[in-house]
Amino acid sequence: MIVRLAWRSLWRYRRRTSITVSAIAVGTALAVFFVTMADGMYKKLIDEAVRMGAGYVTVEHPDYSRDLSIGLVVTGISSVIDEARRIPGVTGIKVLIQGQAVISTAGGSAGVGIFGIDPETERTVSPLADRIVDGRYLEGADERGVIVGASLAERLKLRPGKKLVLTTNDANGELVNEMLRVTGIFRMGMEEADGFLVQVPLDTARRIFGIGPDAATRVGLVLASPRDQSRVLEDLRRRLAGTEAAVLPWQAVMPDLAGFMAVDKGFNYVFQMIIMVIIGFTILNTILMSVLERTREFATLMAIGTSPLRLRLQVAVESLFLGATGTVLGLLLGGALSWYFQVHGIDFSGIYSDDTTIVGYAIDPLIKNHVTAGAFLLVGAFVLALTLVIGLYPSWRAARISLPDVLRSR
Amino acid sequence: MNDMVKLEKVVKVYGHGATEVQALRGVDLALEAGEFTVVMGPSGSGKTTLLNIIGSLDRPTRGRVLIDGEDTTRLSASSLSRLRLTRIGFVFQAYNLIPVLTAYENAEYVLMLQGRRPDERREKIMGLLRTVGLEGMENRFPRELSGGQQQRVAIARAIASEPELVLADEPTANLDSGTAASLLDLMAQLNEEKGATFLFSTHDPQVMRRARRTIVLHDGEIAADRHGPAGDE
Repeated sequence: MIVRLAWRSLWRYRRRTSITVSAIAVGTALAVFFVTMADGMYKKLIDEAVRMGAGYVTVEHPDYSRDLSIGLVVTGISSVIDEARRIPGVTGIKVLIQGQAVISTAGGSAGVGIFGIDPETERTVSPLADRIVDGRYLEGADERGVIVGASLAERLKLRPGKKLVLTTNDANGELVNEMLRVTGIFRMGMEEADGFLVQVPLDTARRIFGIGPDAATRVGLVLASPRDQSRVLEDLRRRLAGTEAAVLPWQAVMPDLAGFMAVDKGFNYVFQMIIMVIIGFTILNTILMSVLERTREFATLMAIGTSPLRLRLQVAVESLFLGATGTVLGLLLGGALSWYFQVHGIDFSGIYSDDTTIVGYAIDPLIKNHVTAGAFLLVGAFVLALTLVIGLYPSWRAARISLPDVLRSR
Repeated sequence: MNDMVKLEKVVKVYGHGATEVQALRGVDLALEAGEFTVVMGPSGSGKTTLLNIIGSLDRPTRGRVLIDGEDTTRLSASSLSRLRLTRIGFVFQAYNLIPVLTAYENAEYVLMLQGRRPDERREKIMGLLRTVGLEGMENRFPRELSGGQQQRVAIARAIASEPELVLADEPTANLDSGTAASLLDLMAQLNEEKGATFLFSTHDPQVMRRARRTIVLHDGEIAADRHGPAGDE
């Protein structure tokens, strides 16, 4: 009977209930849309950054993050790779040799970051291989091949086929020079890559830095889904326990990007909270109005034996119905919107240019939402909980009425 | 016989200071189980306040109210709800039906709160609605019923659980004489067969004639209390 009374009481005032349900639905839909849009942006940003860098999970020397020295390498990487391959969800394994160098051409010289990579693996996991704007990407046979960023190429007047001299210190601290030939020029849209990064084949990097075949600066694991990160991380840590290798999440390897994500998510949550507060006041207003207008009804129910607790429960159930109806409609609406923009994306090129970056990482102006069950659960549970909490005050008010005063009035 | 209701020096004051009104001024009253009593008096004499206090809808400013020996002034709100649910039936002058429930559901509500079985509830309520002349109108909402029909539903609701005490505030005020007579017959039958105690507040001579005891209130005090209908005065 409580359910029947609550449901019918809500729909007795159709217009007011409809407006409130619509407000909850629109607020919920907006929240779902913005959460999935932010998730989509973060996902793409993180995915490109980790694929270009050292994966979602990285194995490196325990001191490497502090020192970034070419001498701090992980040894026995073949067994690391074997262990990593056994973990479900790992779709790619990158072996990286990273160092610093100076490159010189007839046009000048510049300090660069060198990435020694396996071209075949890189083609399958990294976005960089698809961003060649002149020439071609590296191949395994390119013993002296190098690709450079567009800004760097412009500064040093480089183009495919041109030679450059790379000077650096090897793992033993000896000065080494290596002549390389440009095979291609890439443009990632971020100065940190386009003006600083060069890639060479892994074996070339080993030769330059004097690093053995079973060692590397980093081994990066690319995953089928970012959600697998914690599980893979823990699994690999267990498997590599006792070896001199640190197993780190991408957040530890790229703390600037992780920090930005945390701050941006915080702002995003504040924005969501503002929407929720507006929804909350709408719900409070509706339920409170409904309670204040129905004092005679509540007084009658109490006069004929309804306990205060039962009456409060009835008003709480009304709040629940209001919230649940609005939330379900909002999730459907927000889900449909998010799904549409997950497929088609939203083009923000009119707002920001192609080379806009976030803490050095390029963002694609075409942002696609990323729909997950987690976003729906988070928003749905929050709106429903908010509705129930807000419904507490009106339900408390409902049972605090003067029966004789109300029943006497006509 | 046992006192079903007993009031000891009950005072009820509304307002404060200059706006203070004494609705009841030290009322002593005892109603035995099975009485069929009418309270009469001019407007503002305290009839409704007296019924509200006996029915535990209101608390006295001073004095004690005992229902079957239990002091209701000491009970919590939830205990009073329980008391009203199990022992008291109310008929209000303004009907006070629940607008979102049908005639049947309004009458059924108390039985449902009491935890009666659905088949028992259905049999009881359908019979009562037939008795009060509302057969075929079970599924109508209060807004679809006339004032008299609403009052009949209210009376059906009040007596459906066969309470020991029925308090009726001007129950026939909005009824035609024929309907009023049939409802009074029904209440008299419940009084005689089940021994339920009835206390009416009324101006209706038809109700007064049926009373076996008449209490006259004046300015919050009992001005007269005699056995027999008001017409014997």
